[in-house]
Amino acid sequence: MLNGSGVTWEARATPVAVRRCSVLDLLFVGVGALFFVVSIGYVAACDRLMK
Amino acid sequence: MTLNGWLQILFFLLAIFLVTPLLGGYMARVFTRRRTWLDPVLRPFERLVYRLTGVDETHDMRWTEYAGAVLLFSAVSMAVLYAMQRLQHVLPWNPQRFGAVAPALAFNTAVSFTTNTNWQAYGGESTMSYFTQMAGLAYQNFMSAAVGISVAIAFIRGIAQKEKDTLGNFWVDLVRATLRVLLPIAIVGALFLVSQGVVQNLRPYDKAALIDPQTVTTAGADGKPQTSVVREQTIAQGPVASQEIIKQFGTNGGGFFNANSAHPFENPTPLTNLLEMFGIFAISAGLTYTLGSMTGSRGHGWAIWGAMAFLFLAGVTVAYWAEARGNPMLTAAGADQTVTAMAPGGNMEGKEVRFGIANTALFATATTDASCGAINGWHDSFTPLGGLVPLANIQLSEVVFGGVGAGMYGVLVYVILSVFIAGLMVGRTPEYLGKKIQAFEVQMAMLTVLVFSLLILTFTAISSVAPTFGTSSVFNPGPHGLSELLYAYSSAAANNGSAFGGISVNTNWYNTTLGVTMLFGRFFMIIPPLAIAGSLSRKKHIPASAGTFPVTTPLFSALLVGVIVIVGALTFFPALSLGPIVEHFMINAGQVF
Repeated sequence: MLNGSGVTWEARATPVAVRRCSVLDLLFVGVGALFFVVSIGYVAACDRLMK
Repeated sequence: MTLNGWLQILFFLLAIFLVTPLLGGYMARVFTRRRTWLDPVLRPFERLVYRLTGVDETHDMRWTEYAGAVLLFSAVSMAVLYAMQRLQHVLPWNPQRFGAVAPALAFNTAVSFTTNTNWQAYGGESTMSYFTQMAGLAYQNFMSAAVGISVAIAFIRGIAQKEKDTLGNFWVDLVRATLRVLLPIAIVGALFLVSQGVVQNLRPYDKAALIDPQTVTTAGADGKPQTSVVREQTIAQGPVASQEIIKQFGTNGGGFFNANSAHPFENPTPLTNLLEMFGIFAISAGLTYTLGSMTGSRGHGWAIWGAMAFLFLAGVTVAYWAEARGNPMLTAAGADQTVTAMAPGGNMEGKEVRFGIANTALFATATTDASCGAINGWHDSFTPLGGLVPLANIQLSEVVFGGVGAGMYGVLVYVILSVFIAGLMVGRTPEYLGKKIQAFEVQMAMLTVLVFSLLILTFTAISSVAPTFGTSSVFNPGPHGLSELLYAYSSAAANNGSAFGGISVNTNWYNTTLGVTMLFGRFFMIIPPLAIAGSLSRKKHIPASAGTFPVTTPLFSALLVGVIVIVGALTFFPALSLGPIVEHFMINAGQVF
């Protein structure tokens, strides 16, 4: 039997932990940014090879 | 194998054959900016988007600017998706009140959906809010697919144009791919899925009281066993249909639910199963016709289609045969695995009984031929040879129809190599549709091929010898465990996203290295093809002569198949021989892993 809408789920009762920006956030944003900088360099290197 | 199973497989291929010119011709009109029947409705929206974003649709880009725009757009998209997951606990549409996604998992998922991989180290229904699913993941399903189509179209323009320094405008291609190709399909398709029973709502999860309560024993916080009685089942809900349709047609593969297309709310009927498999190939098959149409050589488009169809049929034949044959150890133990009116026979472990062996083998082959990654059965539970097929498909760079756009620019790299090899054979400068293929194009093609294998083999090797962070996450020992590792990195590098399973990948090592693999596997395989396109676009057109290798014949298709298979086999056969191949021999000798 379905309880229908308005039911609660276990997670609803769980207090939501408000997490602050962590060192890992900075690390992963940094890794992502570094990758795209390297990619721009790769584009430039390929273009130079073409010329 | 049954006649019914084969008829379904052949019907599927027939449907793909029929849609190829329809969708391909339409896309050719869209990307050459000719009028289509949707213009009266969509053109005003398109103009509005350009006006709001300040895009000059008459501005054409050099390949470097085009590649820069692809990278910029993807970087911003990835950052936004990362932030959305980290902040989902304070964002709306979170009826289950899920907390913020952990940093490593958020990074992995942001990369995964931006690169069209849709590798999922999380369970959707237990991790992501409706807002993240809709505004983050489903949005990326559209955008990453549109980026792939745009790059493929830029490559085709590079081949078709003569002495031109530009490849078109990325922003215009992106908008047109989204607005004129993906959205119309998604709207109609989602409504069809809803009609079949796929859910589409924003309700909190339902609960059902169990008729037969279950006693469950789990490990408590102190490690001691704890027994509890489960009396109700949580039934996840959500805006599934709208995500499901683009997940298939955009060859994304990231399921709303953890069970993906094996979940009855994602894939409730045989008809939705057929549509979902059809969606995996439809746009990519159409792009072969678009190639032929835009380059003025429809025969060439069909020659590539033929090569792809051959490789598809070879794969599905092996997978279907291996799964229908069943497990030899069960046969040896006296189990009957033959097909009867009451039993499907063969290896049914990990398969949905609603779909059976033929449709699971077909789905697994299609999803790994393309870079989709959706599943309707568990690849880890396939027989060794059955599991070899999806793994080998991914390692052939997913050029058998392939991902939307990604399959086209991927196969064009192999076409360049094929034409180059043919030129070497006859001792002439190779030509491709009136363009000379020279050192630069071959260098770029080889860079594409080498980056792919380097990523897979390096990370698999490191993970397979590192007990603390690598093998500790692998559930199966021996060759099966190696297959699981090899599959994970192959899936990430090829932007497939399906999991063989059997690894606990939600760890810092796997989340980070698989994320990095996905990034390189996407963008370092986009940049060289765009460079080839930029180079070809500038070249003069040379009329065909007696020494020109024709690219519209069955001989060309056979050469293309040969090059794809030989490059894949030379690169990955040693690794495969230590994984599924040795496992096949050992299961016949009575040992499983």
